[in-house]
Amino acid sequence: MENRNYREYYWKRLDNAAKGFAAISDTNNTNVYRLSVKLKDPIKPAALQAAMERTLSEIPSFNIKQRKGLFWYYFESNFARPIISEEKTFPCLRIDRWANNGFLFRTSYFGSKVNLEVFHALTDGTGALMFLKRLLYNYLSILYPDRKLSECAVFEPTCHPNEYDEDSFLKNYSRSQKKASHTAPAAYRLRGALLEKKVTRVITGVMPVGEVVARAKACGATVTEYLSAVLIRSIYLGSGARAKGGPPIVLCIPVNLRSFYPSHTLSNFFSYLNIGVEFSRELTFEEILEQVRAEFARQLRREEMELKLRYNVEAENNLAIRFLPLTLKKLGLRLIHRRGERGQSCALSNLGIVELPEDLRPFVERFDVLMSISSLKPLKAAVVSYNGRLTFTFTSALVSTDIQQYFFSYLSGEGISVELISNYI
Amino acid sequence: MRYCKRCGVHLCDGSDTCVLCGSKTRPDDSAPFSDYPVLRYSNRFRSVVRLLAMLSVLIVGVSLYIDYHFDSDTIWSFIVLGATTYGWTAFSTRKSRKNIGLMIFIQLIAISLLGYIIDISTGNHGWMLGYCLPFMIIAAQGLIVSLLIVRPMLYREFLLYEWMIGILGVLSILLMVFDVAKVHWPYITVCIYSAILLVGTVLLADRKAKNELVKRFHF
Repeated sequence: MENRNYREYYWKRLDNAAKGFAAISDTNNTNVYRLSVKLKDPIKPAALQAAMERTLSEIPSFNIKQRKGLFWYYFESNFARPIISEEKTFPCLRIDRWANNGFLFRTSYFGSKVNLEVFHALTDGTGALMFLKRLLYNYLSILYPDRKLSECAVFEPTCHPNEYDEDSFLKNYSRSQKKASHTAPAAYRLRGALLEKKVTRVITGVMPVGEVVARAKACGATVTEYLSAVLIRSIYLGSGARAKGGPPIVLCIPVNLRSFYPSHTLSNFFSYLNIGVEFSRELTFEEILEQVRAEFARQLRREEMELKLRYNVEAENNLAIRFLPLTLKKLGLRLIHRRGERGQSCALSNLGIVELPEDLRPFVERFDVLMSISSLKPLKAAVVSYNGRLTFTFTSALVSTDIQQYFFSYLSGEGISVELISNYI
Repeated sequence: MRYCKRCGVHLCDGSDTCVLCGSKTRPDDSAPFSDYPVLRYSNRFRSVVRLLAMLSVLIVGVSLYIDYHFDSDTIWSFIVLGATTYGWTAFSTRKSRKNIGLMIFIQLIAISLLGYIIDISTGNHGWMLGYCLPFMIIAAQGLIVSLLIVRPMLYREFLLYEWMIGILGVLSILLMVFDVAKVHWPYITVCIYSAILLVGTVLLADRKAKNELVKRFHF
């Protein structure tokens, strides 16, 4: 009862990134991403429902709904029941708050796969993955009550619960760096015939992590650098050389800021890199990779992150902006976001390696990540690794599959075994 | 599973053609599986909406044209325009039906505008501004107060709209002050009624309701 009373009063401001996502999202730019976990056995919906309710009681920062204020959106407690349904729509569609009881995530299942689709204002990939792992643990412990399964702990015992709810952007930004805008010049834009509205093509390539790591190491690069270079090469080839002599092909690569700053937040805490390669002439793969590595080395530094952090937080704290009514803020933020998106051709998100306790592993086959497409970036990609398998997923609104074909056939040509899974578009 | 020789990839869903290049695939030894439902996108709803939008534009356009060319006592084409706009407003805000307070507020504004257009088009007799508007404000407030009584759990949800309509009711006296509305007593009535309800709801507002204001107006 005391907890309910606390929850009735509970509300929180959106973090710096969430304010942007809440303002710019619509049917075309949903900013909803999907994390999926494929189990070995078919999903039992009743157990999943019970597991979801248990997980929400353990992680109340997900048990919220978004409300509109005069100046900003805000989150408050959601007392409705979460909805679990069978997958019946294309991935990463906008979460309808009326149809979803106000929750900022949507849970569905298909066969032996559980999908958690999250509106980016709620949390980033790291936070969503923690939630999914906890959901998985609760689901399995409900299904197998006799087994003593190791917990997927969300909270570290040494941390105060407030630390999981904090706005780490605000906490960690500093004025020590000089202020600089990070608006990028226009990048090469992916164009082509589009699929029907709300239809997203998904093509996932499952590869052995060892083979990809070996190839990347042989080239003197990390896995993200290597895959970025292959993707940029594929976009160039897919463009039919239209990118030659034109604006650079730029990948937007999100970076988890928790590895740069001490933070345990379950809210958003990420920045991004714009990794661009200019094709003033035909480049070999090695030359592309060289440029990609140089860009990573230049941008993936704490000083660079601090610059972006300061710019974003100070814009949010600007008194004139704060007192603008939300409707005007939304217009302004959409314009700024659109200008920022023009500086990117595509996005590639690497969620890294998913670790699970030893006794949960026999139940789990694979993790997948899917990014939502946007009107200016009709193709995006995401990577996640689990148990020695790397899944690279393209989500696309383009009719053509040239980029995916160049990408996967290059990898298979490099001796990497690729298994493809698609959603039949 | 199948294998595409051209792309060098295995296809888990067992399709005869490669999803990447469209070439024929050949079978290999492992069993196919599916991770996504087969979905067919239906745009019938969007087609119907587009058809209705086109019909609306056609009806309004033809009405304006006929009204412009043939003399009549009323500017009836404006009524067609207003009614069509109202219809689309109601359609586009249909999802707000789950937020009754918001729906009442939207309907109050939309019906008032439609009524004003009808009044102007039929000779500006002043019935809309004179009588309908103040009584619609009273009705809207009465409806929200009834909901506050029937569903006290949603007190905070309704309160904001009650205040918004209340402020609208008090400010409506300006129409009388600036002589826009010729009949005075309905406006005096709505002003007093709204002021009493505003003060009443402010006095009755509990800590949670005040917290609601902090949330709504945080900057």
